[in-house]
Amino acid sequence: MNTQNASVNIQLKTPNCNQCWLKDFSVFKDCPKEILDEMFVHKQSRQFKKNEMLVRENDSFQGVFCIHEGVVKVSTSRNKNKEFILWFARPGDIIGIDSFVTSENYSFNALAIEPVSACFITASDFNELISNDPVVSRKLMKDMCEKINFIEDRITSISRKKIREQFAEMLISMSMQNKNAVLGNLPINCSVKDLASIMGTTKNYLDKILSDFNRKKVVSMHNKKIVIKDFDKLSLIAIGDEPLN
Amino acid sequence: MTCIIFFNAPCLLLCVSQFERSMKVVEKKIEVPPCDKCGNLTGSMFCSLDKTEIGQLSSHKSFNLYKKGQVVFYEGNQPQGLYCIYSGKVKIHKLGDDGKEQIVRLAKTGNVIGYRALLSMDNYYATATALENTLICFFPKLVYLDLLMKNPEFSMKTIKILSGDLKTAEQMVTNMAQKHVRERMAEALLLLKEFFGLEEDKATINTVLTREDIGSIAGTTTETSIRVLSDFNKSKIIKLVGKKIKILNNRELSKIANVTE
Repeated sequence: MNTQNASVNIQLKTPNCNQCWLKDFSVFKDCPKEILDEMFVHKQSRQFKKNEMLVRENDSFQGVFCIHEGVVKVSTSRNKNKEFILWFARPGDIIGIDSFVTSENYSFNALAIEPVSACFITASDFNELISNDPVVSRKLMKDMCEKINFIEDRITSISRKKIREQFAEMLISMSMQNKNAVLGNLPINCSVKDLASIMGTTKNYLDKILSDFNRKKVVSMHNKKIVIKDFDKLSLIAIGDEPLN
Repeated sequence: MTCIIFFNAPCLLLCVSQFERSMKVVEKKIEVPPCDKCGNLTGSMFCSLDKTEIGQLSSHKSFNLYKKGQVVFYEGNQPQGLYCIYSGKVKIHKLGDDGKEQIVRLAKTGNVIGYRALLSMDNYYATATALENTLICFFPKLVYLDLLMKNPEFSMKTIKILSGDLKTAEQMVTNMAQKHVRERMAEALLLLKEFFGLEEDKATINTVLTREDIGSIAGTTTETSIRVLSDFNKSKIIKLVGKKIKILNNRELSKIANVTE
């Protein structure tokens, strides 16, 4: 799997959007060929190393990034400089649409947690693309709606659930997103510190919960990676219906 | 004596029911102007439409009065169209797994609700309930989606509204995760003040919300909401006048809310 991926990546260092293997997952799915060809001329391909910033909060808005490879952590530090992770962008996702129309500044930090290659589309190009093509704008709207729904779900679960329940829910949803996952062996590629700032809690507290989960054989740790052992039990914890033993 | 009462009671009931019926007639007679003459047009999402398009919209619309506490649409139902608030206030809330509600958004005059479910062709993601007597215009979904495909400016406007929504939601989830109850309550009050505005005395928030509602904006229980509000009242930051809230010390409130922007 990995070697296959690697060879594809070498071929498509600066991929034509029409041939990009991510086209079907992204906003540009049904976009006409000619428009994409035109965009390809304007866009820039950029490479980022691990822990490099793509976007800094409060920088002036330049354009949007379409992730081609790697995972990007999108977070905000509006409150007292405490970090809070909003979501993880994966290949095919677009970063920056939330700041695209309403304001001049980015409202979030984007940090590469793996080596990332991304296509940069300037604000004016993207604007033109959306305003000229109703198909793209419809797809974009749909994506945005999904994102808002995702965040509003999180508002509800954050305000109403215990950290323990939220953590279980988070582990499940992260393992679902992992495309290579096989049930029963679900490694979660994320540090405990990051998990803590997804839920707005501290690392120490999560470590405590993790060791409790570990003792109950719900999850186990393998070289700093969390592996889900008992999926059913974890889902019971997530809905607050934990068996007492 | 008892006999008279006995005979009067049904008569009285009849009177009441007649009165109620006449009230309903009055309610039904409330007229909403066509969209091009509506005072809310310039501030709404339809401002970028031209005259014929607005005429088209207007000819398909219908309107309803929702009483305080009445539900406009339910979470999980299939959307049939778009709701535009002509006057009044609406809360949009979700049910948590434990059955407690969380208000995710408020909507007032000129706002449009229920568009997200239409755009994503999904079921309603939340419930909308009238906070006071509210007049709402209804547009069938085909008319709206048709306009969206034909008018790029209109779809741009919609994207703008969506991206605004996204930002508020992100802000809200960050606050929920990182701020304390007291901070969140103060912020909820500031949000209400900004959203609904103040009354003529320039201090009272122009809305009547229950303590439970304020609690579910801040993501806390009714009990805590009551406790924090009366604590604010005691330290003279706000003044509770019945269900209305008067802000006495705005600066202190912002300080508690920790608003940096």
